Amino acid sequence: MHARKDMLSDELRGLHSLAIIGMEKNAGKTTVLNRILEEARQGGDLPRPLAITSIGRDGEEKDVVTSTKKPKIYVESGTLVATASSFLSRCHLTKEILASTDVRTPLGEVVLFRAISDGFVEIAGPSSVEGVRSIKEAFLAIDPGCFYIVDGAISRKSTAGHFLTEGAVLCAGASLDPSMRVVLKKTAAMVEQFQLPAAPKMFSKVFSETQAKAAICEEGELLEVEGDLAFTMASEIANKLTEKSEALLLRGVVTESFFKSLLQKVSLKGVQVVIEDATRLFISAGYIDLLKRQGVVLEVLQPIELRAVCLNPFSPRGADFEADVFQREMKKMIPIPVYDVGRM
Amino acid sequence: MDISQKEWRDIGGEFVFEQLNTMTPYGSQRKAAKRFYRPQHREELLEELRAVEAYLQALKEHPSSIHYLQYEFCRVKDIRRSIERAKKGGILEDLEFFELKIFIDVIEELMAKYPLMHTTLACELRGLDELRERLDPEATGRMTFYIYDAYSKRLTLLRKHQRELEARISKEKDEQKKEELLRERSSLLIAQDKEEREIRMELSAIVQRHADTILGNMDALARLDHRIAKAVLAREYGGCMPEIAESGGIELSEAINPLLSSILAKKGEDFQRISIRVPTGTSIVTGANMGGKSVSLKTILLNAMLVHMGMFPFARAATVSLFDFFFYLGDDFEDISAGLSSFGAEIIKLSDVLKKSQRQRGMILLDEPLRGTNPREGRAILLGIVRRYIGTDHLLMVSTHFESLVEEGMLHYQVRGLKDVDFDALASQIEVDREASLSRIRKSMNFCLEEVEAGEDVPRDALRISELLGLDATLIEEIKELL
Repeated sequence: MHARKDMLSDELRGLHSLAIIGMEKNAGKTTVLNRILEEARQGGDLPRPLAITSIGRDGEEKDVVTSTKKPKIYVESGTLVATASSFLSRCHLTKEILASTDVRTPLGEVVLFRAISDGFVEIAGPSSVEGVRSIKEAFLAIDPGCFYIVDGAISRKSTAGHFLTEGAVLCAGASLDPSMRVVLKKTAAMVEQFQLPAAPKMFSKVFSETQAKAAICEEGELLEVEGDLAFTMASEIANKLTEKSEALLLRGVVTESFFKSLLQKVSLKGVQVVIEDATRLFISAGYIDLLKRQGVVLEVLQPIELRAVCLNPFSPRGADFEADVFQREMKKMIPIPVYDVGRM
Repeated sequence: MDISQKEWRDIGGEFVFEQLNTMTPYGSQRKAAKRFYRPQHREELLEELRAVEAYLQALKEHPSSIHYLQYEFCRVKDIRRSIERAKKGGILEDLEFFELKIFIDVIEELMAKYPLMHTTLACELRGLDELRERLDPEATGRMTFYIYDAYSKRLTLLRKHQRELEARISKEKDEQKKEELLRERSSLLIAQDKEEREIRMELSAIVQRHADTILGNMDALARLDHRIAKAVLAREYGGCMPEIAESGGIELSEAINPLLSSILAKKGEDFQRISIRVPTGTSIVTGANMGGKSVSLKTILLNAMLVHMGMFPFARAATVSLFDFFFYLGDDFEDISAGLSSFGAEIIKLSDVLKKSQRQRGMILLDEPLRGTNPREGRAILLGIVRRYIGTDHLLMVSTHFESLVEEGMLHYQVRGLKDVDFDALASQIEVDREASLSRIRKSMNFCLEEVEAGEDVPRDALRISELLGLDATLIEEIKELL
């Protein structure tokens, strides 16, 4: 291996749970996960045991060019793992089965086990909010002091919602776009989204009591707004907003076109716009500034502490980025630590 | 089932089943089978009903015991396929051993908690001690599973070797030496896999020996879960232990229909309990409109069918004899999908039931049949049909508006309707609002079915109701002339 001065796990101090979030697939999440696990093995400062799962499938993504399998995940004995039942045979280590859950995936029910020996595992986890929540609760039931790690990619289609963790590490790389400039911009914009302030706790409670895709808080009352967020919502919301409206709560994916549509019809000055979490916002770089200038106050129900950004200079298409330049430029644009996945 | 899914829903059967909460996959399968006990299954039916009665008593006297059992029910998963596989000599996987271990634990807990019910009904579950011990060789008592070191000395050694090797690997700096060590580790893993496989084969063979006991436990669990669910339902809606008569018809005392009862409750109205004795042969029901007759027929049919399914009818008391088949023509009968008119479809159905009646004993309920055709012919056809059943051991109950259908040898029931009502008082209460007046009329209705003389006329409530609902007064006078 190589000499490492920076321990990624140093950035994770104080956390009890972590999400490894990829801007897209092949962003290097598995490498980052393996690095964190390796650091833990070498005596890194993380609570034990570690409990890992992933949203959707992982550990078996194929490299697009070479079609070879991506590295599997190497775990130490004592680690808790949640994976689909059909993947158990692909986990080549002595494993003690602790629980089977009612969380169904296309690859079978999700099963929890404890590694008795060290070895490689393949993880396929839940892909729904309820599923992710069930797994987390199952882990905590087995060991309330475990350090819960989940990885997954941001996707408009992902119904997993937020990852239910305190902190996160963002993975981005050349696979996002052939232009380094573009990748830097998009990543910086996403980092900015993670800096959005937390909404008052009261909204969380209030919003959990409704199933509606959107709701308006006005003088202590909650008005539900009907409609499909993509098409009719903007008009519906514009119709229902008044000067007395205090906050607009939005569930699910929120896009730039939605905002454009809404702002054409009504001003959001003085209205707190609350979204579930930073990963639900799909807007272009710089749009947050534009919103700020229009007096829009954007907040999140579930704040996630972004502790580091991990860059992967390798491109599946072959045109890798220059690692040093990539890192240097990224550091200029964001206030949080930057790591090179290529050197992990 | 003898009647269609739609008809079952209409009479309130689906509603009852939705309230029947089985908690294990086995109980749910038994419930879904919708077993009907026919006359030749009389003994089995009595056994089933007595079990429900025993659990109902336990529920009343020791309710927490039922909760303890239900808590364990929630832990049960369906492992039938795994056990069938083991029975045929297949090799089980770790996850399957894990689930079997939990299953065995549940059975043990249930056996331990069963006596809390203080019932004389014996527990049918069988312990699986040998298997439990084999799946927990280190006797930790933990509900987890893996191929434990304790299964084989060789395995213990191999794993120890692997741990030592891995410690050396992580410390090794030289890449080449590391490669060698990794190769050694690989062959150790292969040896372990082989050893583990042998152990799985042994364990699977033991499961095979006990497969029949395990499968027997699944059936016992199905019965226990299902019967307790029936008892809980009986407690909630007021079910009673029915008497199963050798012959005769059906007698219900203060019966209700849970679905119709809950629909009325939502409107703020009460369900009038039904007490009636319907013998074999032909019974005709006449009377006013507004739901009385249909509700009665549905309630009688539902409760009769429930008894045939081994459930408690919802009544204070009930006596039922067993029929070979049920037949129902509801107030909502449509067979437009077959491309026929209602009339055509009804005739086909009636023709079928006539044929069936030649070979088997049936309970047949017809709600205003043949109302879609002209009254003269309709009445004639119906009369011809109902005459066939006089004096037989079938039970035929027909509600109708047709005149003078009742003849010698038939029983005649009538909805009391508005016979006892003070019309002037009622009229003054009727508001301008139509909806409220319907409700008020319904509340004044007496839905009781009473036996009347064969020759008693069809009552004349329709006109009175029309009057109350505000039909033009001059028109009312003209109609009076006509009648």
